[in-house]
Amino acid sequence: MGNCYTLVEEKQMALKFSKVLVLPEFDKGILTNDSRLVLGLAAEKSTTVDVLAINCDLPTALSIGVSKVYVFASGSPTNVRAACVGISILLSALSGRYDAIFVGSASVYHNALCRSAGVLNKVVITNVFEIINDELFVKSIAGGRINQQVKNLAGYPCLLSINTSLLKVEPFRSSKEAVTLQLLEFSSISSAKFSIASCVKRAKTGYQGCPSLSEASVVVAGGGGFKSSKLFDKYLVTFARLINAAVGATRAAVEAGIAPPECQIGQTGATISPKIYITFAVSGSSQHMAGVRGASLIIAVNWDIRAPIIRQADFALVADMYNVLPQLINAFTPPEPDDGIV
Amino acid sequence: MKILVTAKVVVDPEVQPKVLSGKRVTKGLRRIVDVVDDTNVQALIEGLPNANIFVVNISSIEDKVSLARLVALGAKEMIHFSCADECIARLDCLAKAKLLKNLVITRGFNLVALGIQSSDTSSAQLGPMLAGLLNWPCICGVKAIKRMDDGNFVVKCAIKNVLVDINVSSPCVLTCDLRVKAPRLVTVVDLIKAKRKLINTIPVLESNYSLKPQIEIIEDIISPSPRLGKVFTNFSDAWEIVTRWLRKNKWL
Repeated sequence: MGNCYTLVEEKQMALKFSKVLVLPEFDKGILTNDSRLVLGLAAEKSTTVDVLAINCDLPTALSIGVSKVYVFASGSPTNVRAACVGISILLSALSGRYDAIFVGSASVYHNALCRSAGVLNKVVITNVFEIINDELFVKSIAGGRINQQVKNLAGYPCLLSINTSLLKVEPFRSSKEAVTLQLLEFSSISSAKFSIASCVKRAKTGYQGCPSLSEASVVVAGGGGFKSSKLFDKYLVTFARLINAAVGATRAAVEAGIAPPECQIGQTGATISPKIYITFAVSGSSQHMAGVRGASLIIAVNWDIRAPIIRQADFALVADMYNVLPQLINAFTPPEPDDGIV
Repeated sequence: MKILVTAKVVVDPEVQPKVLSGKRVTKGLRRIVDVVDDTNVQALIEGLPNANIFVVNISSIEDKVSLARLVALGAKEMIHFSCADECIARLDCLAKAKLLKNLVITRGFNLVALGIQSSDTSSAQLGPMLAGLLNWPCICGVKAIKRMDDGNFVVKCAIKNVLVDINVSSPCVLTCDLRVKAPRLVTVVDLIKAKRKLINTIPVLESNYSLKPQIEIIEDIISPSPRLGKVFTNFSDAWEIVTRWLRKNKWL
């Protein structure tokens, strides 16, 4: 009897999707790292992977390396939200051909998938980071503190939103397969119910010329304890510049006007996966920590030993940051060049 | 202008989650109105003084207590869909979206503002799903909202590295993470005034809605901490150990 169960379990574990559609994101014609991870997961868990590429040029579409690419142009990238209606209608139409549709949780297309879910009378299974088989998934809830195994009862297509910061898969590598391109035109869809009034492009780099949060391998973040933007710049930004790190902040620091909104990390800000994450005066609320679960190493400096971050960091220093930061700045400041005068 | 704002009641994110026999325990834990929803209600009441702000919540009957603060902030009416705990477990996002859709149609709301995402499930799907059911446009991640003289709105939202101002005409669904200058404290006078206001409790009857869940929760487990958990009280000790660790792992 036990052997029978084992066989059934093994068979269940081996079950894969046969066809999956992925909606990747592109940044200046290049697949984003998050999208490579989602595609990597799809390639691991499905026999066939197709792609719906939005605002993507043909050479890029051909270089993705999956068997079929649908190309849909919704106009300029900023119109993606306006084109959400069009994308969701496309998704609804294509959904019947697939066992599952994957998007990244932080992707702009997450909203389009949720919209089409309403139309398809389905639920999106969100924050998935592990696929056990074609109906069992593991998702993250309670700010990443609980892993929940769920079973899809609604049949195909499964609509999955993937939390890439917790994924343990190899990023997708392009294969040399022959690619079928299908251009989709949707000129009849009007999204004129709203229009772009103005559009301000932010700097490509992060705060004060530091690397951007999404690309930096080291991120230094500050909390509300800095009291003012002057102190934030004087200590935290100086230190970040010395070690070529991106600058991040908590929601409390942003709301207090200490740091700008683009620095905000957490559930309502950026979700990041740097190699090293160093915090000063960050309490470590679950909303903030949900944005840094993917960090490989967390180093925290906080004077309060009861702050949650002390328990959630790899290395925690219970000390006053105004004593620690000057020492760190001194340690990383390059020595003055010798002017040769004896 | 009738605006419907959603407000979730969630387990306080600062409370350590509990799991018993593979199931998450929420009973007996402190419950609060989600911080993002609380701020949204306050920001809309302050920012759109001429609009009628209605707040809606779907939760168990005990959560009604937590909602009094929102009425005291100045909401015109609180609509509380109450249901038993076992019924809540079967109310997935789709069922909630259908509940809200019926409310929006029957009460004639022009604008629906939801939180950007729940601090509990982080699913961020109710807004676009509701927009899909209503066939309304939806703008996600709204940081600020301003009413223009012609009755339309301009909303500010960030799309990747671009800040966009979008002209919006009602009806529309917005998912918001609005800001306020300072969180407003509710005084005793506010609470007394709020007592006279309406908290409209509507029981969710299983017979009226298809509560056949599309997802079954198999097991909950506390996420194992992948952290080393070393604590120092001295800078030089911390410096030595951390640099040694970084060198050992070839990160330096």
